[in-house]
Amino acid sequence: MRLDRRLLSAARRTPALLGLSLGLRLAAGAAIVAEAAIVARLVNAAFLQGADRADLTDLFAALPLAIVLRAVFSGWASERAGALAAAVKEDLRRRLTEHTLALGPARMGGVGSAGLATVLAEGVEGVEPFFKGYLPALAQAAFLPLLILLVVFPLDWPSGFVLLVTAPLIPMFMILIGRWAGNLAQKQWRALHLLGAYYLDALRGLATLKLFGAEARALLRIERLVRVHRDATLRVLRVAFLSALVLELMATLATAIVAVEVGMRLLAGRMQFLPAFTVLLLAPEFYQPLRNLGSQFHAAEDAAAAAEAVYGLLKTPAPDSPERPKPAPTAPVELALEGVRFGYGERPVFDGIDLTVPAGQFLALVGPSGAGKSTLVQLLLGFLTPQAGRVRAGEAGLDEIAPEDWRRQVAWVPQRPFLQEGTVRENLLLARPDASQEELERAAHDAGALGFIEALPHGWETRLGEDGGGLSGGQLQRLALARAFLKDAPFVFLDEPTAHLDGESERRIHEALARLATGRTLIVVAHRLDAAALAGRVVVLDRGRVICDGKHDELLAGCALYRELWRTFQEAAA
Amino acid sequence: MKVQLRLLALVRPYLGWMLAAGLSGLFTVLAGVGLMATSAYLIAKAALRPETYLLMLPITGVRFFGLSRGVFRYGERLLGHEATFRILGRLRVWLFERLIPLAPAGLVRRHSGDVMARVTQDVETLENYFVRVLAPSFVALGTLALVGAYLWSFAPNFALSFAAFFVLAGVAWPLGAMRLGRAPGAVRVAAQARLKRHAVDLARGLGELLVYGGARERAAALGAAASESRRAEARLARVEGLGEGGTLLLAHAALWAVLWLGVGWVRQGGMDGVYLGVVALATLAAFEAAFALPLAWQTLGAVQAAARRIFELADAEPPVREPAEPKRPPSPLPLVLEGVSFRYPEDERMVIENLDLRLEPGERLLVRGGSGAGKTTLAWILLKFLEPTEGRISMGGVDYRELAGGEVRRHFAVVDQRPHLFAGTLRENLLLARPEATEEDLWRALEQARLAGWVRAQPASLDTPLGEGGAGLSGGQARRLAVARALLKDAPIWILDEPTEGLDPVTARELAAALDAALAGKTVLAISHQPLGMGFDRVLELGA
Repeated sequence: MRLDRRLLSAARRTPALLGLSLGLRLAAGAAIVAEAAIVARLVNAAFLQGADRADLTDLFAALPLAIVLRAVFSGWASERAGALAAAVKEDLRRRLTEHTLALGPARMGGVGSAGLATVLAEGVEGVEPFFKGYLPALAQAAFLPLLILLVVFPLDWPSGFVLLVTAPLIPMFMILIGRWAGNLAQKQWRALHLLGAYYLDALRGLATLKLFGAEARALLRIERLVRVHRDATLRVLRVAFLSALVLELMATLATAIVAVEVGMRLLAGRMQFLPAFTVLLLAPEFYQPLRNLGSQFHAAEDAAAAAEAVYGLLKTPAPDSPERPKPAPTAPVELALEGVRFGYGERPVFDGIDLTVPAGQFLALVGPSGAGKSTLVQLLLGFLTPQAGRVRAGEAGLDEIAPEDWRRQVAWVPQRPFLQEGTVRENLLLARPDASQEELERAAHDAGALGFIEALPHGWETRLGEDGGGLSGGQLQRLALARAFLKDAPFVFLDEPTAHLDGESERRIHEALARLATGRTLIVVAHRLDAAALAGRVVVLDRGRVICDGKHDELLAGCALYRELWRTFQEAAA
Repeated sequence: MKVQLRLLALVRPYLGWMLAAGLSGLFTVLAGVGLMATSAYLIAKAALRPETYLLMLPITGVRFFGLSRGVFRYGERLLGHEATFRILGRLRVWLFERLIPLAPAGLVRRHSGDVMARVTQDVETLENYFVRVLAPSFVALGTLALVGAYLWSFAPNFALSFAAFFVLAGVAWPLGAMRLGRAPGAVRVAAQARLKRHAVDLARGLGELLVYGGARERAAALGAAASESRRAEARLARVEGLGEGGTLLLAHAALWAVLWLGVGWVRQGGMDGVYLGVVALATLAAFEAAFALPLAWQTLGAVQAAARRIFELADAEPPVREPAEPKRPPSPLPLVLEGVSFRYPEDERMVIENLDLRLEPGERLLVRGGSGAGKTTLAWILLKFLEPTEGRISMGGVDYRELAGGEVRRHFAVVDQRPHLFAGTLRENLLLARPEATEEDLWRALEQARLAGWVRAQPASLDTPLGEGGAGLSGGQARRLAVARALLKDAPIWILDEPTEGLDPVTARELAAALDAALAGKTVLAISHQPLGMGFDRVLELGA
């Protein structure tokens, strides 16, 4: 039974909640013992001493008190556990979002953006069972049996001995059987997962199956998989449920042993009825918490797995903010990479690259995929930090400027722009919340987006659903361009889309680039080489190194790789 | 209620398994009751110090119940899951059969995300129907009846107060708590949905939000949704605590009531005092069956919602009627569309209007149209996935209405912009088109699709595994595999539905060249918004 330290430390951030939640379990345990004592006394008095209700008013009045306390403490403890879980989740989400903002989009490690959303929503939700189920069960299993033993031993030590000896056997068997079943499940993994995976796959591909007249074959396969799956599952469950068998057997058998053993001593006159009956009442209560703990075992495992993802992200180091930040340049200045080394994991993308971009230049980065074009833009944006060397904007290194300040001076159009849930207008206004309608329209016009925006069913108020709704890739790119125009920043970085754009979008985007370049430093990652032809300077990257550097015409004449890229592109475009 | 009845009808064939599991569950509870009752009797009787032989029977009883409860529990769990997996298996096969005639046109729902993923999850939700709903209800009813009858044999009052508290604890109280939890539950669901949306927006748009501003605002909005969820959860926790405490209170109140009645009854001489502990402990132990009911009520809601969605999907009207006595066309060509119009039932606007089209053997026709011009709709109509609202289609002179859908599709090979590749090996994906194809056939198709070189370079060659949706292949490779698969089918008419969409220009051009060569001599109908880089005999503008 594992206790995830990180989750426990998360609970410690709200010590009052944690303390109360655990303390109440202990109080409930005391009420349980009190209830058993009262019930035993009542039965004893009525059975052996011939007492009537009138003689027992004290006990009959005390019993509801114990019962109410037991119910209140248990209910309250469960309420506190729920509140604790809710508070921990809120706290984790707050820390995760804070940390995410500091990390930026490129430092997530292996998580990725879809993974980040999952961690924030489902991942955090996944730790709930630890606080609502496992921790209370653990607390109860730690307190209550101990408390009962403390009561039972003075009453009747042989019964206490039976309880004491059998108790550790339960978790021991549970763990042994759990491992056995786990191993079996691993061996049957394929059979267990094949059905679910194939079923969804076949449903999603049903049209394809029908195209090939294969739907009947798929149905037969599902019927067969259903049987295979059932057999495999039941093979695993036959073992897994042994833990239920053992748990029940140990608990009931121990109760039975106590009853018989106590009965025999009663018969021999070596014991009184009152302690004997009290022990009988307490025996099931002794095993109940162990049983609960057993059933929460999986919850703990699942929560630990969820915690892994959450804490993995929280542990990813964020760059330090400069202590005495320098101001960010507010007009185009020289940008430079000086001896920059950067790599993901082992493999370096750049092993000491130098590149200087004079103020106001229109630079196109070209090169085969994997050359490091996008990584270079991420470094310029400050979303990645060089492992050696530095990125400089004017006189100041990017690490000396506060990241928010630097980002205020740049506009960025990623390869696949993401539009926020909201209207077209809201998405553009993100860049400049106080922009007037005229300014909006001018930016849209410059980006070649005004025409289609106005043709949308609700124009500027059209809501963009998930992933940009019904807009094409080219249209999304132009909206993102409009946002860049509206921001009117001195530095613009643009990652062209690789996928095929319709001719209209392509032409408009290229027109927009020329407008965007005036009075700004513009760096374009050109996947489509006619954008490179527009640029004042082309830098050809290959495997993290600058291979050629010059104007389009010069490179066509003097750079073999560029000529090759250009030829392929021309053929494709033809 | 109707959903309940249909669900019950669906699980009926497994009545035997379910009964066996239910009885095992009932015996588990009764063994618990028996253990406590006989133990109480044993101790009480022993305290009177009778002859030893008088204790032999209770001792045997204690041992029997002590040993049997575990066995019954094991049986309950195993038989219950046997029943569950039989039910689920039948449900999966039944649902698949129902969905076959609907796909693909009848399964497209707007704004509903991945319908298939949801329905598969719904099927899995039904896993809980028997184990968490039906079985506990059966066990609770059986316990109520049998333990009630046992208590009645001592005094009707015992049975009546037991039954009253049992129903309160198992039915009234949890249902009341559920009702209380409904409002905060709804708030929580809404807050979680908002949280999820903000999380996606923040995560996917993080870079842009940081550059353009708005990251803090999104983070704050997410935080607000998280706080609202926390507040709702805290309220729900109160309801849960109330529910849990209440059920416990009622169970033990029953103990108090039986003791109160019992002390009086013993005093009046209605019952031997030996039995006082017996009735008390039997009552308390029987509540085990009531404690399982709150979860049953909660699960019932989820199960019903899942079942309703499944039935709704399965009950949909197929978009195409199949003929009672299907004919066979003498030849697949010419393919003739006369005045074909199509409108989706929920739309006003015709997607395709009055289209005339004639495709002769060996002809290559390009149908051009922008987005929303009904290109995919046209492909679906040709494949008899949809029926035209007006007009008529014929294949080799036979009206489509007289042809079975499978017969129509036998004559088509299709390459579209999102070919579905199945998780499995390359070989399995190819054999889908022609299960009896030889190794040579496969390689010839791969050569023609210009994928053979790449496949040969893979360590596992044809047995290279593909992930879900063809993961592991680039866009161009996936498209080529789809072409190879279509080639294997060896059908006379080819439909190319935006075959190069979403590919980069170089890859698109290479694919078009491969198609151009591979389709020499075939009849081709291509549907695209752009010239494909292939030769065509005719071009038709759609929506023009």
